[in-house]
Amino acid sequence: MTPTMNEPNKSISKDAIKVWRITNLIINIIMIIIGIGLIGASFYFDWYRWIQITLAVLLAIGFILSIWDIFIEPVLLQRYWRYDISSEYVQIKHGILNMKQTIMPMTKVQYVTAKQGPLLRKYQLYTLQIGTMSTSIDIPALPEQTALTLRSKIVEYAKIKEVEDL
Amino acid sequence: MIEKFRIHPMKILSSFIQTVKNSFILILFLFVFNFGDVSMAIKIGRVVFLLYIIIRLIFLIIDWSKTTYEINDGMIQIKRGVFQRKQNSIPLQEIQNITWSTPFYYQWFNITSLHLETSSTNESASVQLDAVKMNLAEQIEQLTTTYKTENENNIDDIDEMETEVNKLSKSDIKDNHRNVHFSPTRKEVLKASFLSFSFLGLIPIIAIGYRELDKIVNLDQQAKGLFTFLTSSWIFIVGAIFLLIILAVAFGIIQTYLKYGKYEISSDEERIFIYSGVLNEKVFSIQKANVQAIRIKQSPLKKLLHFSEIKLISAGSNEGETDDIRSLYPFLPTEKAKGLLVEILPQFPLTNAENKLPPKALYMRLLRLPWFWIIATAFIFLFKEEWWFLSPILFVTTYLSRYFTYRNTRFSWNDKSIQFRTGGLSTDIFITNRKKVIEVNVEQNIIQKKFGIATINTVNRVKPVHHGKLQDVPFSKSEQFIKWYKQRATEVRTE
Repeated sequence: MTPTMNEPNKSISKDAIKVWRITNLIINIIMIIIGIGLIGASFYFDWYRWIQITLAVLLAIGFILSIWDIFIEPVLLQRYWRYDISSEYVQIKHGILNMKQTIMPMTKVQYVTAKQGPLLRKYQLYTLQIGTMSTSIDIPALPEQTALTLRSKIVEYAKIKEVEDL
Repeated sequence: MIEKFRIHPMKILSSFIQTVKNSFILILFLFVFNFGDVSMAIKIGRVVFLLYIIIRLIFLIIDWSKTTYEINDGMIQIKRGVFQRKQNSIPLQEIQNITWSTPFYYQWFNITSLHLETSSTNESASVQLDAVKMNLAEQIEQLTTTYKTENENNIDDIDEMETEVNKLSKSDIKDNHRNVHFSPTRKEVLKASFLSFSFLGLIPIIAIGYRELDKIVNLDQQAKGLFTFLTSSWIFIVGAIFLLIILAVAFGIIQTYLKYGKYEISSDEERIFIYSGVLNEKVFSIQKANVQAIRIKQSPLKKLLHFSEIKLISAGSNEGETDDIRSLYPFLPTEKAKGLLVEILPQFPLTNAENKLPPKALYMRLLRLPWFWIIATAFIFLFKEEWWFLSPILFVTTYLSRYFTYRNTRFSWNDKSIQFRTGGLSTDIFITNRKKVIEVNVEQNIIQKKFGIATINTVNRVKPVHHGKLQDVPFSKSEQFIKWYKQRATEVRTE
């Protein structure tokens, strides 16, 4: 077995938890505000009873799910995120409830981008996007140093292209 | 290299005819239905319409004269635009498929319309040469293919002399010889016309024709008269039905004949050619190396009558595209289809896939929420409560089809290719090469984990990506699948 045969084993930054937590917090607050607004409107304009009930139920579900989104999901996501980059393959594996493992040959890689939003910048993290002709995979929340070295490494590896034949 | 050229002026005429065709209803409305009506609105409408037609014609002429094409250095250069000059260059080696379409009136002028497609999703990535002389089209096609092979030869230069010699002798033999592999017999066209239900095509035409005519003359009254006349005797009824059936069948046969009558599948060393059409000819050519995967499809009826359809999945084709020319031939006798595959696309072998799904896959499939049934049922009870019986029928069919799909699913892979066979009453076989797969993934949700099964997925480079997905294979198989894919490094050649 060559080293590339192994499961991916590198983790992403622990700060990813904080970033995802804040992101999910903001999203959930917005959703709940919209929900409350809709319920308010439904009473103010006297909509059908069943619309009011549905909205209330949805809001309650949203509230419960937001606990999951903010407190549990970021921890699990970070804990089970694995990636590995070798001269032959880019591999990622993530999720514990819904596991997904992806393998992309380096020869098919067309571009690599290091992205950073305001939240990631706060923790000096980057998301690495690695793309082929038509698909792409993201490795989120990598420390700046790792992200940039990985990027130049991938650029180097990806220079080799396959011959398109039968 | 091809010098700067304009497309044939026929393009102006054909675009103009297209414009007139598109405003057919408007013309009818302005000049026919309201012929006697000389109200102000109609008058203005006529003037505006004529102005539009004239401006359109002028625009077409200017656009034609300002659009030039040129081929050099392995690039097609297109310059167009009146006020804003736009230049578009496409490398010849990016071109994947070439389609020639020749409407019958193009044949009189010995011109054709050429469509060159690249694999890129970008809009400016395909070239439409609306009207070019046949010999020029041939030249362009030749250029795109030779450019590719030349390029490959360059790579081979680095290889040892031995392979170079091999290549040379090989290229001597191939000599652009085209083999014809399939051309439907009259009997097969006849069968195709029934299988495609083309005889049903007469019904909407009659319906639309009736409605449009009814606007002009009051057909309803006359139809009633005819109807009472026909129903007066059973001989007339039988005769009328008989006549209608004959008409419909004749219509279907003619339509199918026009489409598949002069059909021909041929190939040389590098390319596959599909000729079709009797009046409006169409030739589609694709490089064999660009075929990313194939699908063999059988509807329940085709399965019963031993017909199948081979579809080519290539980087230049859109997945959901309805254009039949992407399919080799929709009504191939199954035995012939197998032979055809071996002859023209030996890299996609149709083997007897023997791996079945484990029984646990069935439990998983029965557990999945039947979303379609849930939504359909909700709609039925909200809007059409009297159709309640559809809900249980749909429920039973959903679960039966799940069971049959589970039972009929097979998969296998060997050192080069992978095959998924799915479908309950119908059959859908997907074959691709390990080399042509640009990404694989394995998914497993929490319930699949309990059952020890997983979903495997291959991604091919098509517009948009083509996913070959197989749900609920044993987890150990999914691990082997990943190993199998990783071994591709041993077989691909790099530049």
